[in-house]
Amino acid sequence: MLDKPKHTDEDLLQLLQSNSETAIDLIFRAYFEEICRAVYRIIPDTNLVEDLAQDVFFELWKKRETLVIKTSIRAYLRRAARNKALNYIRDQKIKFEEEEKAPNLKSTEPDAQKVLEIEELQEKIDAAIDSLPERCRVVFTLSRFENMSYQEIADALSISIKTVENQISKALKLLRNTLYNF
Amino acid sequence: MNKQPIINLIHKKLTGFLSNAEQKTLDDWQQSSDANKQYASELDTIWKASKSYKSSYQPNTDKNLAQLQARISKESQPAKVVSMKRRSPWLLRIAAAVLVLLVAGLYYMNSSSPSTIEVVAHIGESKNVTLPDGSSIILNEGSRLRYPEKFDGNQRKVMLNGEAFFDISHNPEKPFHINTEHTTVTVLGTSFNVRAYNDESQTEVLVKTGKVRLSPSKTDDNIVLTKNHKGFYNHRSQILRKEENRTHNDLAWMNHQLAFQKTPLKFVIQDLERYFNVEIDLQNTQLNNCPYTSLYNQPNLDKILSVLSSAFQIDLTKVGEKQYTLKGGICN
Repeated sequence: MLDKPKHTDEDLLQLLQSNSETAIDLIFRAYFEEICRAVYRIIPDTNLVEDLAQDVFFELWKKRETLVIKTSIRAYLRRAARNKALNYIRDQKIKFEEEEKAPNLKSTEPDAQKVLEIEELQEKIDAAIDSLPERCRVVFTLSRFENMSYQEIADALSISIKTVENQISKALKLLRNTLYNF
Repeated sequence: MNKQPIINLIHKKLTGFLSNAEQKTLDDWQQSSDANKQYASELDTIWKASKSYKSSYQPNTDKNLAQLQARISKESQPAKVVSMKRRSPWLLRIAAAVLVLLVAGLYYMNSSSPSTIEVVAHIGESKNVTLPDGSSIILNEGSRLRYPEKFDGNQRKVMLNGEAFFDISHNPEKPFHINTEHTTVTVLGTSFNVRAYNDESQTEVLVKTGKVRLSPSKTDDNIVLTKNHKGFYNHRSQILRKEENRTHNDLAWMNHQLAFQKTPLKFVIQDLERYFNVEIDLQNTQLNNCPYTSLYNQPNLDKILSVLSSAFQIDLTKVGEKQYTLKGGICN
């Protein structure tokens, strides 16, 4: 868990005007890890994540004089980080394979012995999510961690709502297959 | 049965986007069998468990904070003072610069219009060139650069055969393109360093900071390279790929410095081969990944090889004009 920042947002924003370097240090220490993780869930490339996250803070500092934050610093940073990740995906034109391998989607009969606890699943969840086809994984993480609606995801990735529905359903099916069918 | 619609309903419920009418449909489906109930509960469990995705990832906060502070203090101070102060180490000196080394084989500008300027650096010399937009270029020996007297239109284009270091003036309105026989290197970002090596068969581009696009001329494909990634284009197989960079020595030809920091010995050997244009055969494969750390200014091959052979107790033999064999040795 992250330590709660010891200063209120109001303090920090004021400090950002008067002593911006101290303020940015405090903000950075409070939120950098969280921002990195948020970006990392969308783009699981350790080489890029810290650079993109660092940019988010640098840009916050650059905008310090004109900055208007209506929500909270945290929400502002999360939004900025999300946009950064999505822009990166767009600029890189990360190509999602259209013909993704047809996964084995046979549905299985429920089995009382396969009732798994959340803790047991958590050990396997990273590998399971990482093994999803890339587009499927990105759509899933945008829903799961960025709380984006189908419409928002469709807009962000320039795909149709139908495709988003498809990919979400595919992600959940595949995860269930991986995690419940040994 | 196609479960997709129902999975979307379960998902909407988990994310709080479920309407009342949809809730009714979902309830009816769940009530209709125990299997359905269990299915929904499994997805619910997966959803909850997935919250921990990537939560063990630990970024390097201190390192990034230090970098951020450096960026901020650079931005806060008058640019000239900073650049004077910070000029000395070569890594900093090449900020906002692009270096391109490309394949042998001539690339001619198709127009021989009188406004084209050609600069040639013969063997044994390097040349400094200032372009019409203020960008400066250092041409390595045996290299040829062509550029227009004036950059008209909305692009800046130059042609290169050989190796060069580019310090490009920033102008987002006029992207900078370096055309070579097999590829085009496009400068996309604000500050960047690129190095593209080329042996006989491939073009390489290394980005230190910022963004650069590498586009082979024969295909529609391209890759965008960011910090510490190297792009490769193989002229024969026409395969374009990128990987994380491993060496500190891409600019050794220019600043005459070889730096190794816990570098596996096989890569030390590769860097030496490239810098001195020699062949070195490391016969004991057990030494391949042996880490080596050292810094050489004005590197001298005989000296480096003798240091290596005593450090790893290797037998060094010169077998030809530009060929060496390293035998035996122990990794500490």
